[in-house]
Amino acid sequence: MNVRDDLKAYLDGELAPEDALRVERALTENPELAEEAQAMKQISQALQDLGEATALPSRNPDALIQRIRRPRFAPARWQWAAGVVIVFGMVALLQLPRWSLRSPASGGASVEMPATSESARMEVPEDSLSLTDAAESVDKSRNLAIVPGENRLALSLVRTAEVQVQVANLGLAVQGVELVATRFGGFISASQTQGSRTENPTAQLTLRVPVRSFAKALAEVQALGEVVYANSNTQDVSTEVADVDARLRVLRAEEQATISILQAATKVGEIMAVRERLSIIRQQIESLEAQQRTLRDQTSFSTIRVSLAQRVQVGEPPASNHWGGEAWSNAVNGLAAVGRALGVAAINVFVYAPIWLPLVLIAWWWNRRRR
Amino acid sequence: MNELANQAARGDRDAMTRIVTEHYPFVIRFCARRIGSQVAEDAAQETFLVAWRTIRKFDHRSSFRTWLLGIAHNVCRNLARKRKIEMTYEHAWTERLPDAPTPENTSVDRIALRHSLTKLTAEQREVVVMHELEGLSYEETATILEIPVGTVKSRLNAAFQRLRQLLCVEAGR
Repeated sequence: MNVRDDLKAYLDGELAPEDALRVERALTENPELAEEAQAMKQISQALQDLGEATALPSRNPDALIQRIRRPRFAPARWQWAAGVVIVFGMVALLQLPRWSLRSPASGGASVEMPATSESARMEVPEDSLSLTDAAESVDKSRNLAIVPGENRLALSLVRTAEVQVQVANLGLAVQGVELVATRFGGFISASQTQGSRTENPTAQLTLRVPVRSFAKALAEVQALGEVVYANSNTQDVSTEVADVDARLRVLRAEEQATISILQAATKVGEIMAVRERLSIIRQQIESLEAQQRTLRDQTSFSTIRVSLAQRVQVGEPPASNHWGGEAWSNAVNGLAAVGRALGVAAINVFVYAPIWLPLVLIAWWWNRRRR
Repeated sequence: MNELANQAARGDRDAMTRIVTEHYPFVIRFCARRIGSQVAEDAAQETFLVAWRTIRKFDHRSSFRTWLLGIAHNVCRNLARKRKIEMTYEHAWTERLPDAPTPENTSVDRIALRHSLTKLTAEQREVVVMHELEGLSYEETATILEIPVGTVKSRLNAAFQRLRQLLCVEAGR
């Protein structure tokens, strides 16, 4: 190696002894090299002087010492992990009502109805579930509303109810509704079933029963499963019925009178005019008769719209007499449920990131800053 | 110092306070030479805070001072990048003390020397400042800059050869 390359290291005492000896020999033999070494020493000294003459800060580190002395929040790894689990758990708890049914024993019925409507999911206090009581009270009020005496007016009521019931077995529940209809002299006016066994099967039935059996039929339908939603409505149409009856009587009398005029008419013009009038009267009579039939139907048969939903049964294994197979199926189903729950939880954690992520980042930044 | 570092690694705030008190002047000068005295305080604070956070990782393979200056070097580099400051090391000799003594016996013209220093490459200036102004050994410089000792040696030698040439030219003017 060239001695000149080691010259600075030699002057700084950074050479190995044998290399230092080699440079020393070269310096004694080569005056030009010695002059170079002398120049380097002078430059080195000048640089050190330059450094010492430089205005460099020497501030007090009190603020820094205070920051170091201040107790800091420095969570251990397990604390961070616990924090993440807590956040995860909170998100999971927030979402729990969407994932599973609440226990009926918890004081109410909170159920997610399968794809009926957004409003299907609701909480119904137990004390408001008993539509039977409500219907019976209407029955009582009806009796009280009837005015005894010669001008007794028969109260005409249109009674409707809507009820959503979650059942264990949809097929049996549908049969149960049909049985209720038969028992009370009613009928099923419409029926629709949809979904497969594992995909939230549902059924919608329209049950018509005589008004006098409305309360009992409703109670029996509710008894088929767990009531998720119930609504009852009683509409007093007595005035409409009376009005239609009265107008019909008047129109029929007018019809008879018009027929008499028609029979007496001799001129073509008169005959045409009276026939036209008679036609109008008969149209009005037909229209009112249709209204009367509808009202009669509505007041004699109440309508109960029943929505039935089967509880979700995830991957229920086929019936088996072998305990091993059942255990296997149960385990697979359990794993699927856990996987799904974890997936849903992960999605929720991701979706709620705008809420918790800034908090975590602020905590992290604050912790870092305090140190 | 190693015992003090061990105590600080166990969370002893008093030990860390003593480390700060002992090393702060040196660290703030080290930072000021790189990024200027205006930002040096921030850099020094950040250096000690990083050291306090990571002192458990100090493995005693180098001296504590070298480890601390390694942190300071990285902090200065990051701060310079953030605040768009060029690390030319010129602060090491441009911010002159008003009452600084001017040695009479030096044969090197200081104005010419300052001028010549600006002609060096950034790598050469870096090792010159670390070795000549901060008094770090070749090995310490190599550890802080994360380069081989041989590279420090060759850069320093080349820097001095260059300075000598430049000063000869300046003297001939």
